[in-house]
Amino acid sequence: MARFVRRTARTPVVVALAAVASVVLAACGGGASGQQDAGGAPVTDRPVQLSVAWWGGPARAELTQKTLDAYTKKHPNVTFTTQWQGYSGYYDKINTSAAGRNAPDIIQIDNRVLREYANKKIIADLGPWMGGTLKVDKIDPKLLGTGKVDDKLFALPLASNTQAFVVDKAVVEPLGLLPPETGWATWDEFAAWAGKVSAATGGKVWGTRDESASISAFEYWVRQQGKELYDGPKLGFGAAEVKAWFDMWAAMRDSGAASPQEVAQPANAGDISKNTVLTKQTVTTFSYDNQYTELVKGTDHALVLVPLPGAAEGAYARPSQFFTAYSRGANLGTAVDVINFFVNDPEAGALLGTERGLPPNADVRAAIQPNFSDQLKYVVAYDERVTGAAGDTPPVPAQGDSQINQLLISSAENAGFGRQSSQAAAEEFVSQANSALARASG
Amino acid sequence: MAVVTEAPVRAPRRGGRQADRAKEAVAGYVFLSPWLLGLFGVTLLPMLYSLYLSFTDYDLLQDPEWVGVENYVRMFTDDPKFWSSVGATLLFAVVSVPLKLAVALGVALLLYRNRRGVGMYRSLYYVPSLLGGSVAIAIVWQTLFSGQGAVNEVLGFFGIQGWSWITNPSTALGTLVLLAAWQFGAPMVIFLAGLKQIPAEMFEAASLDGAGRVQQFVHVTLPLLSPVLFFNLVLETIAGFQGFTAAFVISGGTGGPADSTLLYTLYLYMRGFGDFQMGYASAMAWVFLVALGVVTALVFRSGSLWVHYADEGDR
Repeated sequence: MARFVRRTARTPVVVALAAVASVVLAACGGGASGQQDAGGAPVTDRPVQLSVAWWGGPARAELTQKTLDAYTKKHPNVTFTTQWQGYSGYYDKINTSAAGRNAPDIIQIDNRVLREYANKKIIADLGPWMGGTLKVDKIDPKLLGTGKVDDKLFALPLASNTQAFVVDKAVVEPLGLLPPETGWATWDEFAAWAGKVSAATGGKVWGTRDESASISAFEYWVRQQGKELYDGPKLGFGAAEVKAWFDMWAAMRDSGAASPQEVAQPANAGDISKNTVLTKQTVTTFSYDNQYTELVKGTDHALVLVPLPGAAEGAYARPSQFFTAYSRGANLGTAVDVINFFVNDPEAGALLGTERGLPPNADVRAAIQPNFSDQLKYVVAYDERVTGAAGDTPPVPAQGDSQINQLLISSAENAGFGRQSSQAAAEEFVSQANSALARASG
Repeated sequence: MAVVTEAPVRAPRRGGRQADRAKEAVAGYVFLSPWLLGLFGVTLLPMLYSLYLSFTDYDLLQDPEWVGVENYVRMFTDDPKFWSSVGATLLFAVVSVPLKLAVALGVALLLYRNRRGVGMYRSLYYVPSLLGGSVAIAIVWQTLFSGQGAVNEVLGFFGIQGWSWITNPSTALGTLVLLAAWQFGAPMVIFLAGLKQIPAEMFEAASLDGAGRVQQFVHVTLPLLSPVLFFNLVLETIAGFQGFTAAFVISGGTGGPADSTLLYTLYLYMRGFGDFQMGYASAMAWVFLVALGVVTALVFRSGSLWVHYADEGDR
């Protein structure tokens, strides 16, 4: 008896340990349950609630909500919960929820994480729905290709956009310094122009924001040097290019053309609310052309879009955002149907406008264009003008791209605040970026 | 509690005593079980699991892959950001902890005598500690110290040209230190309790011997308060090294500008949840645990040099 009791007295602890361990293991294991109904039809006979996540400002939130409401009107059994926030910290949240196996059913992403999310199986291969629930035949194949990883469609482009400098017309026009529609022939010409603006405003407003930390602006510039951000899974440029880039901005800061890094820094993380044209600290800043709608809402100044300086080949038609379906979502078929609605439905197209960029479906674009406001027509005209002369769209960025963005910000800040020489900052950036990419793809 | 009293009452039987003891043991485990579950389920197992993860390459989604000490080697030899974060954390702790304690002690000295309305002041000065760790206060701080914020407006009134404190790497960490020092309420309350323990006769005797206020403070207050000071120092040192929320909010989750607010725990978070490198983040956590242990041990060692316990003289 005594021996028996002593033995059982210890067992609860063992059982408890085993129980905890099995919970831990279950959480770590688990199958890709959602994949079972790959290609399955949307649910029509029972209530479904889908969660949708995106980054963006209030304007985007309003339009997206309206579009989701329109879907619910057509399919009363489907309702939505939404979560949206600024760009900085957005992926942290998605990553965390994906690790916890409860990511939103529909996730907006950009191409910075596309390869990573596809390879880590966070997002579902949309192939099984193509031609059925998901119609892709009206989407420009080049644009559709930007959502493919290793020839499989993982992400549907919601819209396309292209690079721009947004310029505060209300400040420069009275000074007689409004740049031509075609922009500046060279970066030197741009620097001289920005210097004139700074001087003419008496140093109150800088001609341009220091864009050295912007990987999007850097990509434009590096393409003009005949390079790309990535050469397959590796960096497509070296420390020499980065140093030249940092030096160019240092010269603009020194001459007073560009804002000091402490003015530029808050916007480095990519939040549109920190945009220095909206805060009226600078006349020029980098922007994708679709952001124009959001930007004009944030200021009482008139704004214009101007191509970045130098050769037009730096620009390209870029997928601004994608919608993707969470691979473990319980209602994949319905999620895909919602994505299809966003891209192919004329009503959705009319609601969404060009806030995310130009609609990818050619029919939708043609159908809604006559009803565009002057503002939207302006964005379309800019986009068509620039992409007409633009270079090829590069392939989906290498896995680890989001880290490269962070590393460039750090190095640009170190150089911009004078904590490192441009040479040291450039070398550290390239070596850290190379090892980050090697790890991410290894 | 009732279980303990029952045992001796029973008549001893052959083998019965052992059975009773076993029963007691079971009852004990049952009463302990909430704590045991917490210890094993929420603290110990996850800790051990993270120790295992620290030797793996783990991206949260796929199974961890054993890589030996690679994470640790990379941390010390091939990660400049790691050293930036160590530097920022050390600077933050070394400046903010003494500053916070000095402010707490100073305010406690002002508030410990019973004057009219002193209770209200004690509550008021404690309020920042209630709010301090919150995201809302960090956002307020961000607004106060931004380029067009209230601090610069006040400075501008006096004709001083301010700058954007939070976006300049030479002052960004300073605003975090200030925020930490502002939350002096908790150590202040402990100091107040300590000051109340000092017998008034001590001060009377000292003033009879001709000691001024400063001398009284140095020779009476400080030595008698040293155990409380030591207690606060240990707690605040540990808390200081773990600073996260304010740095995360004020830098927008980046540790910028130029990594100047990249506190250790923030960098750990970025690696784990931003870059999917949970193995590396786990290794960082263990290095942090060991480092904090060493620092705390050093503080304890130093205690024997300056902490004065009143009952020592009686031995």
